[in-house]
Amino acid sequence: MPTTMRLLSILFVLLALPTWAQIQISGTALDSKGESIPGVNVWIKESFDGASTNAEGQFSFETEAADTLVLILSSVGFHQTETVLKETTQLTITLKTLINELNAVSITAGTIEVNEKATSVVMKPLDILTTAGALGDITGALSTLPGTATVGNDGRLFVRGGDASETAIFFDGLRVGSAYGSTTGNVPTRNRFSPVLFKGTFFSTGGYSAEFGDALSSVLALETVDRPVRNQSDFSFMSVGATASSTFVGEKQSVTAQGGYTNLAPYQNVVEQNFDWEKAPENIDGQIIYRHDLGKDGIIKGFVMGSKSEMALYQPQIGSEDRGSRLGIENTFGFGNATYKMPLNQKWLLEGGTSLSVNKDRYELDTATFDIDNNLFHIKQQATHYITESFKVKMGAEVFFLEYTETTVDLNAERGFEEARSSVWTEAEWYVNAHWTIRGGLRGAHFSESDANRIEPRLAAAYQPYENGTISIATGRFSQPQASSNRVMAPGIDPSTADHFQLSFQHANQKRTLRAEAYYKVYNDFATLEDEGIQAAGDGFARGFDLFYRERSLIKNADFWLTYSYVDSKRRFNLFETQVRPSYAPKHNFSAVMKYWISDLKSQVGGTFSWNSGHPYDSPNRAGEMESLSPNYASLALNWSYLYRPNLIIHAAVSNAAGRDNVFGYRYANEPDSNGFYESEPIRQAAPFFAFIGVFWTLSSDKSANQLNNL
Amino acid sequence: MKTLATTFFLIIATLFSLSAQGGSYEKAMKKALAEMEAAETPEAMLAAANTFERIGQKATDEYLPNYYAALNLLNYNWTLQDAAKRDEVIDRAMEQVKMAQQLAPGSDEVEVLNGYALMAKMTVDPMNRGQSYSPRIMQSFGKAMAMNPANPRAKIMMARMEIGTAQFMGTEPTKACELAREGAELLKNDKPVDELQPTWGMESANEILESCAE
Repeated sequence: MPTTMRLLSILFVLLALPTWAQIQISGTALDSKGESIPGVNVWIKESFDGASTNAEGQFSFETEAADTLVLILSSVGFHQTETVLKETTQLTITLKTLINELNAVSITAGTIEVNEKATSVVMKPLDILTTAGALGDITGALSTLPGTATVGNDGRLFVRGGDASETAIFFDGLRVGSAYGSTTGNVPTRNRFSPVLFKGTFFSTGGYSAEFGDALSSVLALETVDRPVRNQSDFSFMSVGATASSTFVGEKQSVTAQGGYTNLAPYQNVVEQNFDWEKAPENIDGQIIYRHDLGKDGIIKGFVMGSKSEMALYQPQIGSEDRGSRLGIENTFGFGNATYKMPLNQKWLLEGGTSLSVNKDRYELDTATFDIDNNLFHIKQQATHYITESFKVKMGAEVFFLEYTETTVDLNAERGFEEARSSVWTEAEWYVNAHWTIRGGLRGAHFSESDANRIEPRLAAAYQPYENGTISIATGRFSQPQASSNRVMAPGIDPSTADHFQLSFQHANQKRTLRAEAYYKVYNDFATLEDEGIQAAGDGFARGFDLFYRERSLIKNADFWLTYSYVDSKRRFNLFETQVRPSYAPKHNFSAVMKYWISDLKSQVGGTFSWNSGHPYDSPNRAGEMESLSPNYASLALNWSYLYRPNLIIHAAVSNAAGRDNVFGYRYANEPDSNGFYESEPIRQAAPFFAFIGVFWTLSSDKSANQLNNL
Repeated sequence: MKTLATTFFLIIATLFSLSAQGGSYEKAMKKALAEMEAAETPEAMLAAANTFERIGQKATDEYLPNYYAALNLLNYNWTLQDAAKRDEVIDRAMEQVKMAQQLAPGSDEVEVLNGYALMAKMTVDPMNRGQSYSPRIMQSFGKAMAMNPANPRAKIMMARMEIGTAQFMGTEPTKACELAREGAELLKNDKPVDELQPTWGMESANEILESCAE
C-alpha cells in the first residue's frame, strides 16, 4: 500500500513539524548588583512559552521560531523588561529594582506613622485604643511615644520642649482650630475626636514636610476611614456617660452619625476628689460623616461636629478659709470640613478641601465674665505629580482666615484682630535607589496682620545601611504666629521661628523596633514683655535625644514598649527676663507600656507607667526665675477588656492606680507674710485616681463585630 | 491518486492546525494545573503562579489563568516569613483577582478567592488588621455562598473564619464544623463542568473537621 504509506509519512512529518521549528531560549536574570534573581517569570511575548528562573536565576525553555522574538521578564519588586532577541541562548538580562513609595527607604527622623501597613513599626491604630491610661484619647496614647512629655495636669501634646500650641492638628489635611476640649484650673483635657474615626495618624516630632506650616514643633495629621464595610450600630454605657453611633453603607457612599453625653457628677459623688467642684465636667456632642466615591479611586468626604461643655470649680485662696475663687468655663465648639482626593491619571493626584472651626469659650472668674471667640477658616489645594515611580513633586497653596475676639462681658468691652495667612509650597521626593531617599521642599508664607513674609526651606534624607536599618536626617525652618492672647495686645507682632536639626537611627522588623534620635532646635522671636510693650524679642533652644524600644515576641501574647526622652530646653518668653526651662519641659521622661492577651479569660490586660523628673516652677521665695523643680511625677495606669460575647465588651480602667499624690508646682499668695515669705499651696491632681467602667455593644449583620477598637 | 493524497493532506492539515489553535489554551492550562498539583516547594508554587500569569497575558478572554495565578501566589505567601514580602505577594495576587473579576463578573469562585486573599492579608498582622479585614472577609465568603449555595469552597473558607473566631472567643465551633462538613460533602460530590474548574478545598475542610473531632 504505497499510497497509505506515503500518507502516513506525511502525517508523521506533520505531527513532527512543531518540534522541528522549536528553538531553545536560555539565560540568566540578574539584578543591578549582578546577583541572580530566582522566581522571575520569563516568556515570549504573546505566546504560552516561558519558564521561571531557578535558584541560580537561570531559565531555559523552547519556543517556536519566528522572525522576531520578544522576551519579557517580570518579577515582584523589579521593572518588567522587554528584549528583542538577537541571540537566543546564554542571555544575560538585568532587571532594575522597582523603587516606589512602598519599598523605598522612608525618612524616619521625627516621623511616626500609625497605620495598618507592615512598615508602621512604632505604633498601630489599635494601640491608641488599648494603651492603658489613654482612655481612648489619641493624645494620651501618643504621649507614650518618643519626643513627648507627659504633663499630667494638662493632657495636651508637648513635643521636645515645645508648648502644646506648637503642635498643629490636621483633620484629613485641614487644620483644626481648638482641637482640645476647653478647660481651666489644671483639669486635664482630651482631644475632641474619637480615635475610631481614623484609619491612620501621622505624627511628626520635627523636621516635617513643606506641606505643613504654622507649627514650631510638631504636626499631628489624622486621616479618616475611607470606606466602612457594613451597616453597624454601636452603643456604649459608661460610668461617665453614654454614646451611640450608626453607620449606613451604600453602593458608592456611606454615612456615620454619632452622639455622646458625658457627665462626671455621679462619679464624683461616689469617689472623693481633690478639687472642690461646683459643676462637674459635662459634655454633649454630635457628629456626622458622609463619604462618597469619586470615580474609580477618588473620594469626597464631609464632616460636621458640634459640642457643648461646661465645668466650674473653686480654687482655694491662700490664707483664706472660704472656698476660694470660682473658675468656670462654658465651651461651644463647631467644626466642619469637606475634602476630596482624586487621582487624575497615573501621574497626577489632586487633593484639597476647606474647613471651618468655630470655638467660643466663656470664662467666669468669680464675678467677672470673659468671652473668647476663636474662628478659623482654612482652604487648601495640593497636586502631586508622579514624574516617575521614584520621583514625585508636590505643590500646593492654602489660605487661613483667623478671627479672634476677647470680650469683657460686664463692661461690654471688646478687642480682637483678624488675619489672612497665605502659603505656597513645593516639595520633591526622590527615591534615588534602594538605599537612598531625599526630600527637599520650600514653603513661602505671608502673614497679613504683621505684614511678614517667611521663606522656609525643608530638607530630609534617609539611608539604609542594612536591610532593617535606617539612618535619617531632617532639618528645616518653621514659623508660627504668636499666641492670639498676645497678638491682641501687640498688633503687627512678627511670628516666631524655629530651626530644627535631627539625626535618627531605626532598626525595625516585625518583632522588635529600636529607635534613637538626637535633635537640636533654635527658637527666635518669642513674644516677651519689653519696656516698649510686647515684642517678638525672645529666643531659646531645645536639645536632647529620644530612645524607643518595642518588643512583640519576647513573651508570648505580650507586647511592650519602653520610651525615654531627654530634653534640655530653655527659652526667654512671656514675662521672663532670662532664658528659663518652661514648666512643660521636664528633663527626663520615661514610659513603659505593656499589653497582654489572656485567651483563657478572653481578656486583654494592659499597664502603662509614666514618669518624669519634675516640672520647673518659679518660687517668689527663691532668687532667680523658674529656679525650682517639682517632685518627680509617676503614674501607673491599668486596664482590662473582657470579651463577654463577640459583640459585647466590658472595659475597666484605672488611672494612677497606686494613688500617688503628684505635685506639678505651687501656687503662691499674692502678698508675702510679715516675714517676707510667700505662703504656697501645691498644684495637685484633680483626684487621687480615676476609675472607669463601660459596656460596649455592637449590632450588625455580622455577629462577631465588636468595638474592641473603641476602647 | 496524487490529487487525492494532496486533498487528504490538506484536510488533515487544516483540521490539525485548527485543533492545535483551539487546544493550546486547554493544553497549557492542563499542564499548568499538573505543575500546580506537583508544587511542594515555595519556588515551585511561585513558578506555577508564573505559568498561569503567562497563560493569562496570552489568553486575555479567560479568567481562570488569573484565578489560578492568584491562588498559587496565595499558596506561596504562606511559605514566606517576612511581612513586607508577604504583603507584596498578596497585593500581586489581589491584582490577579481583580482581573479575574473583570473577566468573569458575578463568579462565585472568584469571590471566594477574593475573600481568601483578604484573609491572607489579615493574617500578616491579625492583631491590627483583624478589626477592619474580618468583616470584609466574612462579607466576601457570604456573598459567594449567596451566589451559589452549592459552592463547596465558599462554605469551607467561611468555616475557616468561623473556627478562628470560635477559638479566639473560646466558644464551641458548632457552626464552623457544620459548614466544613457541608463543604466537604459538596466537594466529594462535585462534578466540575470541565477539568479546568477549581477543585481545591478538601485539605482545609479536613483540617477543620479534624479539630472538630478533637
